[in-house]
This record gives sequence, structure tokens and C-alpha cells, in this order.
Amino acid sequence: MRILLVGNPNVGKSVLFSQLTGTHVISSNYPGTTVEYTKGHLDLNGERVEVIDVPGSYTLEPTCKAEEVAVAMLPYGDIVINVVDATNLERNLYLTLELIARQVPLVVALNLWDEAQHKGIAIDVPQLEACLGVPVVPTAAIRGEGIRNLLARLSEARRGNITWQTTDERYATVGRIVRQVQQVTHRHHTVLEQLEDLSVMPLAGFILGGLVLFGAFKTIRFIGEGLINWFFAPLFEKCYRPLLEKLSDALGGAGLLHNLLVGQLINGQVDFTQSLGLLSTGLYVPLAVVFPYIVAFYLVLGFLEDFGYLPRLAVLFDGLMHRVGLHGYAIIPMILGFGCNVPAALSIRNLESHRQKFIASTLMVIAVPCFSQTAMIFALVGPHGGPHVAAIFITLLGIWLTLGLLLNRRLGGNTPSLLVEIPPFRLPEVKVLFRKLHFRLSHFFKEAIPFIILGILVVNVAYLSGFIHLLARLFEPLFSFFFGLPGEAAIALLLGFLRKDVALGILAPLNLTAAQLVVASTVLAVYFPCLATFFVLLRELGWRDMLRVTGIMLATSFAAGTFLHLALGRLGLFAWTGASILIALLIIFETAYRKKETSA
Amino acid sequence: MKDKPPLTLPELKNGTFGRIIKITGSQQALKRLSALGLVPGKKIMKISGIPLSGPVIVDIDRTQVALGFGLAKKVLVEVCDENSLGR
Repeated sequence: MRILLVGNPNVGKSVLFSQLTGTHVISSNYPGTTVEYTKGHLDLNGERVEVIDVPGSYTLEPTCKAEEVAVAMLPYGDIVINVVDATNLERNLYLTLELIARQVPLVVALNLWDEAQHKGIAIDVPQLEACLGVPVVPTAAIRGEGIRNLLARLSEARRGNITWQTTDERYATVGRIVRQVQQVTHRHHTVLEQLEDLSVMPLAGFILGGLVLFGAFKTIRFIGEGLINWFFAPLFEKCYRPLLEKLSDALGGAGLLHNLLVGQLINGQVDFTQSLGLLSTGLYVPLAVVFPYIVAFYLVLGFLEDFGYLPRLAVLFDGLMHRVGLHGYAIIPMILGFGCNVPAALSIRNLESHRQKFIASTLMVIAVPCFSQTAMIFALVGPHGGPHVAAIFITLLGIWLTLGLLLNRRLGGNTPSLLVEIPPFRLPEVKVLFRKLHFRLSHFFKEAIPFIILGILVVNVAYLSGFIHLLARLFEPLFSFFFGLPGEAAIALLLGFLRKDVALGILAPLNLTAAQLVVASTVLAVYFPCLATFFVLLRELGWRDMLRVTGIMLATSFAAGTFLHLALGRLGLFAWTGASILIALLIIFETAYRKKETSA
Repeated sequence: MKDKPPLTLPELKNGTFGRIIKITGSQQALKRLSALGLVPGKKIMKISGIPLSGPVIVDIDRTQVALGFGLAKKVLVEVCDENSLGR
């Protein structure tokens, strides 16, 4: 038997799903699309029943990909549980009536029942059952209330007593039912609701948004550093180092096998960041440098997602994003990209047009450094002082804006307007939060960690074989003239396409000056995405567009590197002012152009 | 008060109620809006408008919906008198 959970977005469908099913959940794409759905199992009176969390949809006359998938899945359900938001009957009942018109065996879960009561909304459940002709069960999935009752009444699932209607008739029916069963008593706003309103106000919203982002990054650093300092670093130093030193002794302290596994000894000792052995740096960098920050990042992101804050961010940034040819929701891949560019590249698939995908991909891979890269930048450049770190990120922001404005102008076509429901703030459910974290971390283990280890191996071999010195000599003149970098930095760039964090690690032993580090970090961030991201995007954009993106990347990194070299060296403030004026002019130009367009 | 010309959503003042009279624009735009309950005859309240051509946020049936500037301009509303609310 198969049960489908169908309902509008933001009605607590996923929470209900995780209450119904156990821990073994598979998330997959619907064949031929990029729309994701989740599948799990439930034990119903000894029978193993499949439960599918169908993508959220407002209507069965599809207006987007997710809704098309939802409609295509409908015939495969033996029972449909229609999850309805009790705080918003008017909107949700439209889908319910469509489901009834399709004559599917239906049970309605009147979810967010507790929230409705808090909001002073009273619903006459028996009356609603009579109107619809199907069982209606109030639930508060987040607290697990009503779940048992819902399961008990699954056997009563039946076809309702409303036949096919036109859109207008259906709205009229919804109105009539709501008047019959629902009573709303007015009551004062709670603190959370006042915060909701504030978060979309022009001034307060941006201040709140700034605070949220600032708080988020502070929390990520706090958790990440905490994990490293109190757990991973001591683990490696106290427990792992003695083992590795024994192995080093057993292998004689030198030789090919020793250098591959343990790495080269620095001052007679294993150095976890510079030895470059598979068992030393190869484990230390992914597990003790990068992984803790990834955990912290996804924990905070998951919380913001489930709390209902992200759509507000999309709303606040919609104006800006439209100027670079995207719509507000493209802020999500950008933010995801700060964690890892791979999931960000995956989420770019959900953008509507090819034009948006192209712009979003280009901006994301060029100007959004992933968190492992950011962590390495902080580790490498941080000791030279905040302004140097800031120089890197300000340059990246400048690149993002300039490129975006230019791309939007150069590419034909336009971007459709944003239209999105803003869910109320809800305290996330811990179980759902950790399930999502687990998903993302296992993805990171599979997709990223092998590449990190491979990258370290390649670097090590390049060093041991002397290949690196050959390359260094070859690139020496080019690098010193344009970027002011020594030839050895070339190897970092060449390996950057495997893992940017590893590449940054290579810069560590070169004794670069602060300015050189800033230039190298920026060029490295801009010039090419890591291999994993590259392949995800290649699948999405195709060879031709990916070549275009690559061309843009190389040109941009060249320009950015030369600019920073000059700005931090000979020209100083002049270069910064020049760049700011250029961007300001571009924005003014763009605004004037839009005015002309709207008045015409 | 009565014979006021219709306003577009961005022109409506924050915190005022309005009734949707007409939605201009493509069939696709109409479909997207009606999926969220934004249909002619519906009463809404404008909560906020983000400056510099940002989205307009309205309250419809106690849910907040954000419409991008371009879409918001296609929604024509008449201002509802606060006093007529109870009727």
C-alpha cells in the first residue's frame, strides 16, 4: 500500500512525514525532473506501508515543475492524506476540493491545529467533515498530537461528495464552507508575530536581516572553532599523533612509502598541515579543519530554513537580485554556496529559466567562496589582520555586482517577478533539523572528502617528483609581473580545481607577504570552481555555456588579481576609489535605464 | 471617498485595506496569482513595500504573500474604507 502526503507548501507536511515514518528515508528526484521528493515507510497494523512526501503545491492545475510532479504522482497513491493548514483554510481548501473532484480516497489532516487555536481560529470539525464528505483529523504534527488518531482513521479514507467545478465555482464553494465552519476571534499580536511583520518592513527588515546574518556567522564560527579546539584538534594531537609517529618510525622516517603515507617530516616531526601525507594532512584537513565548519554551517542554515526566515531574505534582496537578472529566491543558492558550492549548484536547477541559471551559476562559482575555502582564508590571511581578509571579500562582492549588472544587460530576455508565500515564524522541530543535517553531512562525506584527500595526494606527488618546481619556473614571469606572486604559487592555482582549500594550504609554506596572500586567495577563489561543482554545473548548463562561464572566470580572475596587486601595492587608495566609482556608475546607469524602460 | 481611481499595489499605502478589482497581464501571471488566492474581489491588506523596486508584501486571509515589483504593478485595487469593514 502507498500513502501520499499532499498539501500546500509550508503547512508542516515534512514534519508530519517524519512523525509518520521512521529514520530510513530516501530522498530522490522525480524521474526526468530536478524536483525532489522523500519516501519512507510506516508500520500500519503490521503492514509495511510506503509513505511519500509529495512536493508542496497550491493547485492541481500546475503552475510550476513541483506542481507538475505532484499531479503526476497522484494516480500512484492508494490513500491520499491532504495536509491542510488550519490557520489558513480559505487557501488550503481549494486544493482539497480539487483532490475531491479527482475522486481520490482522501483523509484530511487539519494540521497546525495548535497554532490555529493560538490565533483565535475555531473550526467546527464535524461540520467540515459533513461538507467535504471525507474524514477530517486535527493534528499538531510538531508536537506529535493527533498522529495516532490520523492513523486510526486511515481505513475510513473515501471519495468525497463534491464533483467537478470551474475555478470560480470552486472559490465560491470554499467561501461557503469557510463561513459555515470557521470562526475567528480577534486577538493581539504575539511577540513572534510582531517580529514577523518587522522582518519585511523596509528599514527594520534590513536591520533585522543584518543582525540575523551577523548572528549566523558568529554562531558558525563559535560552533566550528569550538568543535576544532575542544574535540578534533585534541583528538588528532593526543590520540592520533602517537600512532602516526610509531608508523613513521616503523617506516624509517623517510622513503617513498613514508612520504606518501605520513608525509615529509618538518623539523623531525609530523606537521598536520604541511606534511602532506595521506594519513597526516590527508585526514587532518578534511576532518579537523573543514568538517567542523560544515557541521556548524548546515546546523545554522537548517535552523533558519525551518524557522521560516529564508523567504524573508529573498523578499528583502529581490530588488537587488532583479538588477543582476535574478529573482529574490536566487539568494538561496548564493547563501548555500557559502557552505559548499556543490549543493548550491544543485539548488540552481530549481531556478526557472536558463538565463537565470546561467547568471546564478556564473556569479556563484566566481564570487561565492565555499566555507572550507573561507576557513582556510581565515586561517592563512587572518593572522595578518582583519583589513586583509576584508579586502578579499570586498573584492569578491565588487566582482559579484559588476559581473551581475553586465550579464543582465548583455543577455537577452528578462526575469519573471517574485511571487512567494511568507510562512510564519515557527520553532523548528529538533528531529527534522537533525535529519536534514545528517542528509547534508553524508552528502559532504561522499562528494567532497574524497576530492580533498585526492587533492592532497596529487599535491604531495607533485612536490615529491619535483614537477612543481618545473611549473614554478614556467609561470614565474607571468605571475610576478601581473600578480606579484612567486612561481610556486602557480601550483596552487593548477591544483585549485581539485580542492580550493588544499590549494590554499600549499600557499602556507611559501612565506608570502600579506598582500601576496590576499592576491593569491582572491585569484584562487575566482578562477575556477572545484571539480565536483564543475561537473554538477556542466550537467545543468551543457558544454557550450560551461565554456562561456569558464572564459568569464579566467578573464575575471586575471582582472581581479591584477587589480588587487596594484591596489595593495603601488596605487593603493586610487585603485579602490576607481573601482568604487566604476561600480557606482554602473548602478546609476542601470537605474536610469530601468526608469526609461518603465516610463516607456 | 467612493469614486477614486484604482491604484496599483505599489501605490497603496502601507497598512491600508484594498479590494482587488482587476489583474492586468498575461494568463500565466493570473494563474500564478490565483493559486495564492489573489483573485478579483478579494480583500487584502498591504503590509509593506520594499524600497527601490523591491517586492510588495500583502496579507491575504491572514497569510503573508510577497509579490515582485513587476507583478505587484499588475494588480489594481480600490481602497476599502476602514469603517465599512464591519459591514
